[in-house]
Amino acid sequence: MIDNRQKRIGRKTYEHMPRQDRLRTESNHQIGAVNDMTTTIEHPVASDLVTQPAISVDQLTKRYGDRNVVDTLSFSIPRGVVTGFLGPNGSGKTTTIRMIFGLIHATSGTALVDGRPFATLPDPAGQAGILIDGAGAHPKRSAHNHLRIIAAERSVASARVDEVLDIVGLAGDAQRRVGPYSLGMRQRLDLATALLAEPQLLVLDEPANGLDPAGILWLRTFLRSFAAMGGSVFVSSHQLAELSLLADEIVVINHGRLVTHTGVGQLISAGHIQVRTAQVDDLTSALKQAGASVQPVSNDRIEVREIPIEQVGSIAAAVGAVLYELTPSANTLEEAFLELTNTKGEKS
Amino acid sequence: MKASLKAEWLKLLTTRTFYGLTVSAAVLTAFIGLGLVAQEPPPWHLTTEQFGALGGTNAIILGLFCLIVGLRSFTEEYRYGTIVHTAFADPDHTRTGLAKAVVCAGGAAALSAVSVMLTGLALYAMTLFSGGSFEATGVIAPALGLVVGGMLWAVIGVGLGAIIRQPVPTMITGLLWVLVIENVAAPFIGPIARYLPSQTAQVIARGLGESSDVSLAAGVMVAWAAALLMIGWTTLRRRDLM
Repeated sequence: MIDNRQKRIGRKTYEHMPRQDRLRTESNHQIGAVNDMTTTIEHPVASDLVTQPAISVDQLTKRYGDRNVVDTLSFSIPRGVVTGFLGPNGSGKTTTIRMIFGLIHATSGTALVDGRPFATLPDPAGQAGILIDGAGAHPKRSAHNHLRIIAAERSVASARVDEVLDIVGLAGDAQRRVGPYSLGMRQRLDLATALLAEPQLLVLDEPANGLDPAGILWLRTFLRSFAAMGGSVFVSSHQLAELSLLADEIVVINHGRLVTHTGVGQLISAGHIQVRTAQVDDLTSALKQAGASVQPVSNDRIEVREIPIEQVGSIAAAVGAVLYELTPSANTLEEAFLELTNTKGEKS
Repeated sequence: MKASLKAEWLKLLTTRTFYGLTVSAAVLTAFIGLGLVAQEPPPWHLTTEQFGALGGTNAIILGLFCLIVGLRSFTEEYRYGTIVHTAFADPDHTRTGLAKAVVCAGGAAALSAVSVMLTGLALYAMTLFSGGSFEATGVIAPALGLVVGGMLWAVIGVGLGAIIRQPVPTMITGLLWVLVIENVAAPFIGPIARYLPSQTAQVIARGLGESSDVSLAAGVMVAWAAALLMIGWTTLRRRDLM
């Protein structure tokens, strides 16, 4: 697919297009083509920064009164990947993001962007774009004027305003005041704001809020292509199914502390094996002896973890258990998340 | 700094509020001027002394409008969350604070100039039709005083807005300060009262450059503006933004 695109717009032209134009071209295509782009497009990050994580958080703590909202949190976000940021409501995600960008001060610990505190970067707004709850636009200004102001603040050419409005699909509404915008349109405007200075890092807090299914698909495609072209994405979302399609890695926090930082594949593959048999007791004993973790589900059904499915079958044969069902069941990201944060049944 | 200045100008000029404030201030000061002059029977003869008195009265009215121009520059940003974008480009807040002060001072100068011109034209027309006289040279000193005072009020507003942040409490504080607190405090603090911002603004507007009192008043008002701006900047840096 990438070859076809290159043929259409000419390979040389394509390689010399501004990065965001290439992104715009890409975001109109499906995800399948996007991964190929890493091999054809030059990595845009300066060579001295390639070894640095995009974001590095070390022992970060924020205390309000007696309560640690973020508690000695440490993790690193690598370049060129989409990293999901998960946690129940009130787990400290937004506070962490705000601390990374100096919007609130950490009680202790450090948060670095490209190896330096955000405030000390030579061009902070050019290195990262954020979409964060609480940031907004004056309702009496048009989207175009809102972006013109931010472009001026960031020393970005005003022509770029029209480009980002086009990228996020707001070009037709650019001259309208922001006040009556729908939630989805505001999200698109915030995303346009984040993209304005062509940053290498996007940090998005609940970016899919208010987007319709087409908008969510567009966002997913866009972020995948952004990462495929060397950009780093750190995205917090409660739409776990969406995140499982989008993210390469997941950072899970709860009560302000790190629960896990792992690949999405690892997280959702750590599932269980559903076994249905009439000889539940015999099979359970044999499986436990083999080191499996066994959880009874009903009179004739158990869930088995920590041994492979082939071994379960062999053990069942060895004890003469007749199997009515032997099914591998991968965790969904939602199940893994609920299990990790112990929030099954809680409102999140 | 140039980028911040451009952004702040755009912020000031891309909503209707600044234009509304300018028109309101101009109409109000013109009516006040006409009303004060019309207390005497025609024909009206406007002298340097009368322009000075008129400048002193309008110093408070224009000062309030200019104060509001300054107050809004930070409070509106907090109200609508645009402060995040502003801080993102300038995490140190230094350029932002200075740019807001410069732009609000410029906006206040424009607002004051429009008011002074409209009031001057209205008074000129009034005296002309009444068969009176208009001592044009007497307008210059109070006009300059009103513009300079307005600029300093705007900078005071920027500092106050950065300290209090919330639009309504900031506005109430600003109005209470100018209209109530200074007047209530004046009898208790004796000669020190002349160093309060409203008092100094009135002295400046009676005739800039005419006496050492005016220079002293201007200096004191600059000190007020600088102090509030500095406190506002320090507060911005120390507090969490959200």
